[in-house]
Amino acid sequence: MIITNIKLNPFGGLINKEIDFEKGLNVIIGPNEAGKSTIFNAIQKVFFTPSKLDKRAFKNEIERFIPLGGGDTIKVELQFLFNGETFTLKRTWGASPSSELVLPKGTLTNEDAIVSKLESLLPAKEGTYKSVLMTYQSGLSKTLDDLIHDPETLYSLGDIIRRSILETDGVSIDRFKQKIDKLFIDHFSRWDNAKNFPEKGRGIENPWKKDVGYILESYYENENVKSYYESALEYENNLDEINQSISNCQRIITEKQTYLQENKKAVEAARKLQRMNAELEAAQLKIKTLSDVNNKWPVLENEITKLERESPQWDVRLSALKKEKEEAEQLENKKKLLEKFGRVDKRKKELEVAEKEFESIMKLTDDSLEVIRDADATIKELKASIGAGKLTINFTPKRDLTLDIQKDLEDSYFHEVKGNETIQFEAGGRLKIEHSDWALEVASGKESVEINLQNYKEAEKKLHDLFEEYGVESLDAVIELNKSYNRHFGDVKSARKNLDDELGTESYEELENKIHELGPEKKTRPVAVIVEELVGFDKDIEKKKEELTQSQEQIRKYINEYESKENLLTIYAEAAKQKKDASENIKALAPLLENTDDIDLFIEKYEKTSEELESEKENRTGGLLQRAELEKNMPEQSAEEFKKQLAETEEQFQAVLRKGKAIARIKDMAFEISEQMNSGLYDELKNDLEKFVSALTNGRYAQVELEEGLPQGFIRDDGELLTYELLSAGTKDVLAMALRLSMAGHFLKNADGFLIMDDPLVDLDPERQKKAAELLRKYAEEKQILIFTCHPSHAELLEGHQIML
Amino acid sequence: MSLKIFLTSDLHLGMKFAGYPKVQSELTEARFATLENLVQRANHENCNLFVVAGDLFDRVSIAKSNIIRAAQILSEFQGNLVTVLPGNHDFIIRGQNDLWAIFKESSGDNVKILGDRQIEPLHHYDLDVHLYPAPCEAKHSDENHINWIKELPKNEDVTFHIGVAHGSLEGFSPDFDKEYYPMTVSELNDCKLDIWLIGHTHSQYPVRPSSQDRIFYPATPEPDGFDCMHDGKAWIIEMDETKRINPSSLTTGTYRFQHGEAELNRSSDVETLLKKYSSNDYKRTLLKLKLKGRLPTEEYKRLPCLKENIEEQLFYIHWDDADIFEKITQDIIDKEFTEGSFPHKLLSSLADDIEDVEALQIAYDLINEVKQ
Repeated sequence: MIITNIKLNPFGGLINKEIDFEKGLNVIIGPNEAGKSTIFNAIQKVFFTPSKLDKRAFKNEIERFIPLGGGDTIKVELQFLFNGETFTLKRTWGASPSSELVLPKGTLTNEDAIVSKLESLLPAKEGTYKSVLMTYQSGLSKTLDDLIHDPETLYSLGDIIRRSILETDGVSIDRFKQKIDKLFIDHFSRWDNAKNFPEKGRGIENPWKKDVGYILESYYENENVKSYYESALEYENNLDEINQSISNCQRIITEKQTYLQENKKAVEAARKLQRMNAELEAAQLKIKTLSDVNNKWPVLENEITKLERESPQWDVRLSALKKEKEEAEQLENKKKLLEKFGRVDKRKKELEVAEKEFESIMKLTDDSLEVIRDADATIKELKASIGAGKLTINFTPKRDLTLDIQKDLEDSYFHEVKGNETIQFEAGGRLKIEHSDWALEVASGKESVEINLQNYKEAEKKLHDLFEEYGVESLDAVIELNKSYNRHFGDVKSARKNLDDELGTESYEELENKIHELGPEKKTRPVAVIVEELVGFDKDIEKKKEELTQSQEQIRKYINEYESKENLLTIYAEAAKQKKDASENIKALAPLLENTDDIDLFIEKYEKTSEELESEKENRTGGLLQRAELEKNMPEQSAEEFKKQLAETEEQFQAVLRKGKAIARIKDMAFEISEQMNSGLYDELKNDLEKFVSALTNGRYAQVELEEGLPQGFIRDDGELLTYELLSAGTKDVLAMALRLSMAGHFLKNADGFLIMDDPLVDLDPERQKKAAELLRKYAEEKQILIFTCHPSHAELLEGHQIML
Repeated sequence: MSLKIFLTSDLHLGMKFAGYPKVQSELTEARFATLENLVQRANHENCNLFVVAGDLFDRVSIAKSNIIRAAQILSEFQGNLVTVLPGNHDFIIRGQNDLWAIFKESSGDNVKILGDRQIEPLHHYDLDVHLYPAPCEAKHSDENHINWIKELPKNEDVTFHIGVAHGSLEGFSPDFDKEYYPMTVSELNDCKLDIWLIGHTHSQYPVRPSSQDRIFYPATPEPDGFDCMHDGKAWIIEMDETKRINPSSLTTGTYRFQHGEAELNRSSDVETLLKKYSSNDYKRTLLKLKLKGRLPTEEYKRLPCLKENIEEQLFYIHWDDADIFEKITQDIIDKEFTEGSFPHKLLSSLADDIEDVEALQIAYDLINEVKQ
């Protein structure tokens, strides 16, 4: 965008003023108060101040430009080129406000449309224009001036550039950070943001006392109210519970008191009745006892008399029975002796027969049998031994032969063998082949076979001799003979034992003598019958004696208790009277207990109720004490009131928390932005800055040293690095201008645009002024520059399109 | 004869209002003043029977002086009888409750405590009435106390049979845990009484009464917090011999609690708000005013002044400006700050999130604070 013309009619002190501008450098020259600042403001207002303003905005923005006594309207018309095409922006403020943007094709009159169109035409936003591109005693100038002329503070070049860019608007990042950090701490101190809880979990039971932030403060307040609310609720519930318990006790007490009151007379009557019943029962029992005694006493006396009279007869009868028993026993012994003798005699005869048979048989004992068995076994053993081997002989004669063959213990036999015929002989341990001309004996171990054959012959002879001794021919016959011997021997032995058993300790002769001594037989009753009668009679006597003793004892007791039968009747009369009295009392009590079925249960219930009443009274006292204790901690307000309060504090807490979170977000974002801005931001500026500084210092400082992305200082032509504080005042002024131009380039980039400056050469020495003028002329080849100055000499140096005010 | 009843409940005398330290004593005192007004109003209307259907007092443990004061105020009733039912806040425990013992001692003969679940014949007070009280005996109860009335034979020689209870009514009262003597319309109807006078819920029932209505809640006569949105209510109920009911709702409160919400986006909105609260109608109003919206800078700066102006017109204000912000748009940011500068970047990033206006406002304020 290139400004080509402006008309002010009127604006501030200027009426019907028209100025043409050219592309490139324009120098507006005029003494103070000539209207330089009015033109500057007119350019700014026509671009950025809408024509329709409310009262307050009008007062702030426009009122000071209304000419004194020159009407109620001001007007600015600005013409500019954009991409070679002409646009005209007209604004009138005051009584008849209007805006108009004449486009190459058409005209816009709607304010929003004009603003929108201007935004698309201007290469930077309003804020950037006001702070960098249209600086007229601007913030940037002031910041730079402050930086340059403040000898107390040492700034690095990086600081200056950084602040120049980031803090163009006069907003110090550090101060902002300090502020937001403070605000963050004010809110979040002692608050754990991640856990959304007080730091180290310190709730209201163990609260932080120092450095308590707003959030925690609000949290504690809310939690305290919550705690009061919960305590009040608990208090009220506990009170309800205790009151309920006291009420229950009271109800039970009343019920029980009523019951006891209502039944007091009845229970007294019941207790009396209980006593009367006991008395009546006792009297009845006594009467019954006395009546029994009265009946039994004479009977017992009669019984004693009768038994005492019978007793002498009992011994006579007892002696007779004992004698009869003795005689019967003797008779039974005699019978038993005769029977025994008969049995002994029979056994004696059986023994005699057995002994006779034993005498007649061959006596082959078990020992003898063992000897014969050994001999037989030996023969069999030797025979087995001789035949145990295995001999095979193949025999082939050259001519016909007759051979005598004997194998082992077998009998020899003749065998005819043809010439050249092979015959095979097999034997156990020995084979003997004999021919008339020769004999061949083959044996497996010749020596042992010989011995065995010898032994075999001897054993065979021994067995033969034994068979002959017992008149038998075989081992089976020997065994049979031994069995016969053993049987007869056993028979004799058994018969003798039977006889001995029957005799016992006596001999046969002694028994025979006892039989001979027995006298004649006498008749008696069987012993068992006599004994039975004797035992029965004995028991009978014992019983009668006991009866007598008991009766005598009972009579003694009666006398001890009642003295005499006459006195017994007196006691009986007394008991009858007691019974009568008790019955009459019981009868009198009946109406009081009409509704009581069981007086024992009734009394029991009454007494239990009485005990329960006492217990309930204790419970009630306990409840009252408990309530008094509870009431010591009575809350200040009802739970409902605390609940209302809680709603308020909760709302407050949430609001503070919400604000805190917003602050936290700002803090994070500020940090993030400042980090982004510190990295690589200055690379772009570096080249421009170097170029401008080099030009302004005649090449003395041609390079800027960067460290970690930040410019640290200039590198002098001798290679020396000069940090900002080492620069001279004049060099610092150069730097200010270089920085201004760099930043303008930074914002305008490649777009056509204008830069407005106010007396840029004023603080430079003549040499530098020249250099600066050169630089500005060169810069104006790329961008339009409008320079306001009150120094004609500067204007002369600057050259360009000169506009005299 | 006809009967004219003044019905109130839920005075909650002795409430502390600790959450309103600036006006605490006025609010506490107002409840007694309102009670006095109710009695005067009942006298003026020539009511026969003055019924307090529970919660005359806020708690059972209350300063003796307050009990005596309440008793004395009620004793000023010039009709036949004042009856006071113990509610769940001032429940009665027979034989052991200091509150009602002191109250009884301090009140006149024309004040009767309905402390028992038994018929109270009022012929001694020249009233052809049987009262059927359902007093509370604890703060909480999951059972109501009206069951005893259902099967009770009603004396046909008596003209008016009136139930007095305290507790929640299903479908009307917020009693989600059923812990405030919960009652239902059908349970009340089953008692076959001519009318039910009930306390507990702080708003009036029925909302639009007809001659068919038999259940009446008077509401609290003096609002007690921002959850109570009416002006304080009571009923005057007239009954003729035919049991026809003519209810009149009264506005009784000294103070009223109001919620206000204003969306302020332009100068005219601010003017409208200021105008709304400029009358003297709000001198006894406690206002919780929630402001929303995004105001242009100049208007935004006027907010403290606006608050001051409105506060002057009100008894008390809870000024909630947490959701009102300066209108900080990208245009404004572009206008005020250089592109690429720290404030421009920060504010632009925050302005991107349309929901995060609070952060934007705080950042903007801070930037202006540090701006040289």
